[in-house]
Amino acid sequence: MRTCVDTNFVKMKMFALRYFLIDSIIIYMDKQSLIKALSSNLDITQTESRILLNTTIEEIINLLQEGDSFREKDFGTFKSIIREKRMGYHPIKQKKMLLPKKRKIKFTASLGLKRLINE
Amino acid sequence: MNERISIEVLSERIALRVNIETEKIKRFIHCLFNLIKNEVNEDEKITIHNFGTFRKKWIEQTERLNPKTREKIMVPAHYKFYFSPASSAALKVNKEFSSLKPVIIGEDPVHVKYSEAVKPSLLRKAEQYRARIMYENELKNISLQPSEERTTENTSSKKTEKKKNNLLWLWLLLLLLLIGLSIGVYYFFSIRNAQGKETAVLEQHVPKVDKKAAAPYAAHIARPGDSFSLLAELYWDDIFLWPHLYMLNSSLYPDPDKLYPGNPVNIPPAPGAEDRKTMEQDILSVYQIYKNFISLDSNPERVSFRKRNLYKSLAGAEILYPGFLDRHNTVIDSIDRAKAKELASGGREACEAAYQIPLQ
Repeated sequence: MRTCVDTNFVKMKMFALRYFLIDSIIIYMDKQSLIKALSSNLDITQTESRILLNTTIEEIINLLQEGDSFREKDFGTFKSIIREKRMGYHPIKQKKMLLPKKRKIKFTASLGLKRLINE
Repeated sequence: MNERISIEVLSERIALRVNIETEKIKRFIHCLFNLIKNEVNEDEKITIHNFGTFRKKWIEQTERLNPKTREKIMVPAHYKFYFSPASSAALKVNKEFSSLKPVIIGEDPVHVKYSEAVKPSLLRKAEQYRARIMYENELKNISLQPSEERTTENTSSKKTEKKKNNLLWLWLLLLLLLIGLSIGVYYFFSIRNAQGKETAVLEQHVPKVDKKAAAPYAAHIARPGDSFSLLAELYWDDIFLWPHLYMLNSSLYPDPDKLYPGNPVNIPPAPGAEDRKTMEQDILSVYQIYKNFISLDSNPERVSFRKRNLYKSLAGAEILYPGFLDRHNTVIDSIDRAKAKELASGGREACEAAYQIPLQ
């Protein structure tokens, strides 16, 4: 599948390269430019893609809260695990402390993703 | 509880909240994760507000033990993929146990007693401090005894000298800062003006000699479905000139087959018969780029696709400049030459028809 990068994002990079005389620069993508890229890829409006992005994130968090897991092909699985209570140590007060039971998010990358990164 | 939820169920759940078709939502989710994947691969990190950050981390070569055989294994250096959830997401997931909080137990310190660990050093410091005070008091007594007036005069003069010295330092620092700033501003504006002047000089002095250099570059913003061959056909009316167009934009696009929609492409005026040498060199450099990609790639489908494009570009060169393949027989392999000649023997129309097969 073809991907698209926001034009403003590319312009910013070009500006930085030209005027600040830097050989290479990394500008990380934020949520707004991600929404723009999604809308141009799928031919939908930006408001529509924003609503869809927010609801997908909320639904994924909701299903993790219930203890279920979600797997995207060639990307990885999101699942939640329960960490039992354990003894810890307070570094400032220098005293023992009991850390309670907790539900945590765990992500495992798929084989395809690992291969793509290490190409 | 503890179920694996498929993308169909997730998209149905989202469709209940938003009035959009489920297939559209499915495509959206696939596109979202594809974008994240590509972004992390290129730029190392992406953060999504209220969800978390995806990033890759470089891990150096390490020595490990095989737990079964107890043998040493060398794990090669590689990238690892990480996801760290945002604090709001972590709190939402832990809503079930949010009432439980950590409790501090016992009063005694666990590892080392703080007082024992710090006491010797503290005592040493205190002794040093006491000795210093004693020494200062002795000095005061000695100086005060002979004459009180002299000492007061001396101290006042010393103080004024010190103040003057401090002020001088401040002025010097300020001057240095101003000089640095002025040099920076001059340097910044000189670079800006130099670019403008260069174009102005070309327009003023050499307008008649070569119009191509002074002619403005057409800027094209790529749309979905565009490729370099299509743009060459559109702007220059000749599909075989695409290697020249690609080499002009090669700093932005490392892969000749990937032209992302939304990115800018610079299109200069069409090359004439005089640019034959540069054209031939461009075709040869595109040939070598393809060869590199083919040698590195393991996917058979992608390799065959790239090979087809390579033969097309060579056949185009043969049609444009007859005898091109034989002249460069030291650079181009014999198998590639034979395949390109087969394509070129069909004539210009047959070769152009080969380009009309969709690229991806």
